Amino acid sequence: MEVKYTDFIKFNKAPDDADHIGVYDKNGKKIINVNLGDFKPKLGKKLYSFGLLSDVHNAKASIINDDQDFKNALQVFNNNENDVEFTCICGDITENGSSTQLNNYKTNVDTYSPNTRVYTCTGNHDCSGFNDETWKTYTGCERCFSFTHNNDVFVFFSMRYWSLGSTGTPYLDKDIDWLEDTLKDNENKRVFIFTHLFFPDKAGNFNKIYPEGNWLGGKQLERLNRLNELYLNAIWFSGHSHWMWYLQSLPDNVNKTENSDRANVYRTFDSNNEPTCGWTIHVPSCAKPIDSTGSNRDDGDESDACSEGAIVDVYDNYIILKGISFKDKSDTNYNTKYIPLAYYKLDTNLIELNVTESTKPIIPDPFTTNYIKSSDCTINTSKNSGCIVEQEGDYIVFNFDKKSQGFYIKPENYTTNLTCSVIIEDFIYDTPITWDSSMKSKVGFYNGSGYEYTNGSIVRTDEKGVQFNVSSSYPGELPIKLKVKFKFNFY
Amino acid sequence: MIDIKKQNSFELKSNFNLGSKLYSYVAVYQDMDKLNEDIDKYKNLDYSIIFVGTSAYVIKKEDYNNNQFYLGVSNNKQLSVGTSSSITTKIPKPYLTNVIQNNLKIKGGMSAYLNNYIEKKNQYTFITDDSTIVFSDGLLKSGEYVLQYENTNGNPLKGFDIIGKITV
Repeated sequence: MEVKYTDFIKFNKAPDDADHIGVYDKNGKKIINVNLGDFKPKLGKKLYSFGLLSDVHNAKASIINDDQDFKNALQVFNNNENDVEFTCICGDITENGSSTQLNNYKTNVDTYSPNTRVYTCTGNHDCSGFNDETWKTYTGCERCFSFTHNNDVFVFFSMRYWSLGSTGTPYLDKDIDWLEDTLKDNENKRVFIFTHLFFPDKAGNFNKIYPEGNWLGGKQLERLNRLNELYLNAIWFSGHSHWMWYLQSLPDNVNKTENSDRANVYRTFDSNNEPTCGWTIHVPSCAKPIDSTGSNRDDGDESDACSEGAIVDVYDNYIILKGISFKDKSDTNYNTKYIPLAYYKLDTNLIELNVTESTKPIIPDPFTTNYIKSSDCTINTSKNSGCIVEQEGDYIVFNFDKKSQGFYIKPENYTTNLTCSVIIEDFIYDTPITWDSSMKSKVGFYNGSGYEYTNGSIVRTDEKGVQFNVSSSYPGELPIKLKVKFKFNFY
Repeated sequence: MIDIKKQNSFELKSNFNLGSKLYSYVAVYQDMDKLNEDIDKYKNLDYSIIFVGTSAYVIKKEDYNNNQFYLGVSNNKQLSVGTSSSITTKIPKPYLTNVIQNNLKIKGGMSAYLNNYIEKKNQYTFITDDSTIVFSDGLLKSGEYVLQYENTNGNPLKGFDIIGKITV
């Protein structure tokens, strides 16, 4: 009976400098050489390389501020021998988003990666108290941004809120609009997308063990899934679940299909072998890659001892993804090794596209002709009492004298089965106190996970009308008065 | 014993089973030009296996008539039979080795891969298109084995972890 070794998946390839696979018995005696044949691809000329990390957490394991894993990875990528031109991170660069940890991130990047630029998007751990200006100060990055390198487009798509599960809204809708516009503008180019959250039915959700409440879900997932199906030239890198590279070798009865593996690398193909979605690739954690027996989530001490990442070599029509163990549980010190099971050749032949479908929600324009009136606002009785709403011309004046107060805005003809939205035309802080960003971020139109107060912002909601609240965590003085002029619509 | 390094070509007409199909012709050529001169000879045969240099090609009659026979076989890969647009049948190369052993006596000229199998008689190993490594029956006795990438000198590849272990 034939014996088979099945831990490779079909996207795995042998490295360029391998000649064969040696097979040894327990006494170290060589039994046979396995010739590689087409398992070793003929490579063309490499264009460039970039480093790849995720879930840095500015920490080694669970110990906040013990950041040796991150420092080591930056040093490896900064080493000229590895030919890395820049480093890309899929978010969670901090444990809790504090200025202290962001500053520590900046110090580490400046110190250990002086010759290799580091780009990052946010992760859920970076969203606590998130502020665009602070983020840019410490990372040098906008919340969402793109750049072109060697005719390839690099897109960093950040979540804004720690808001997960089926009703979560981690991304700003306007950021998804921006992502879609960017993909459309570059539909016939190779686009590398870096974001934190994995697609629950694609790479990064090994055996669906990761808690479902921590997945991307709901309408934002539907929309991003569609973008993944429409823009076939995009390669999506994500993190979040921390799964180790090697887990592809374990049985995955939930996710494994005939033509794909979903541990960390995933793409589907039709019967003509044409791709039906863009590549999705999950990047294990630099700080705490998580192990599993196939049915559990083992994030104990052994995960703490490990550190993983990757280097991506880019060629004309494919990439070579080289998964790295910076340190595994048997290493006493950092011992960078490429992981053969995480050595992939992923074809990126450009597919000619002319996408006409839009995933943007259809919002009737114009909004209501008239501005919303105070009579359309009712006190949210599940919160503290005592707030008052008044009319001043086209403005509604909201008066709050306690934290955790709020109103529901329900114009005439509103019913709970309608999706509705408001557009802010003017938002005035009519209270003679100094308003800083930490205060502003806790008062305004509640979008399910945070507050909108910027002119031109559209806030959509699915139930109970639109809320205008002051948060229980509002840090400033009270009472406060806010004058807001806005319109409303249904769709 | 035929040394095909020293001959332009030779043919052995015979019937034999390969997998579930009956093949009727085997030919060996030193180069493709010589094969092209003779190619019309094979167009009425159901299946022909033709060795050229270090590669093996299979021609199916219907594909030949459609001018799209599949020539996709490399030295160290399993043999694929089908049209140029789709592979319909896959035949592990060790079967071919048996064919060679049973029908031809070849010295030199074929790939080191094939010679290796001839020397090891019926023991073989190969990697399939979906990256499964196959070891023939009896090649690995019970026990644990370590797999690792090696360079041409037989040394472990620098900077790489082992591939993994296999327990028989």
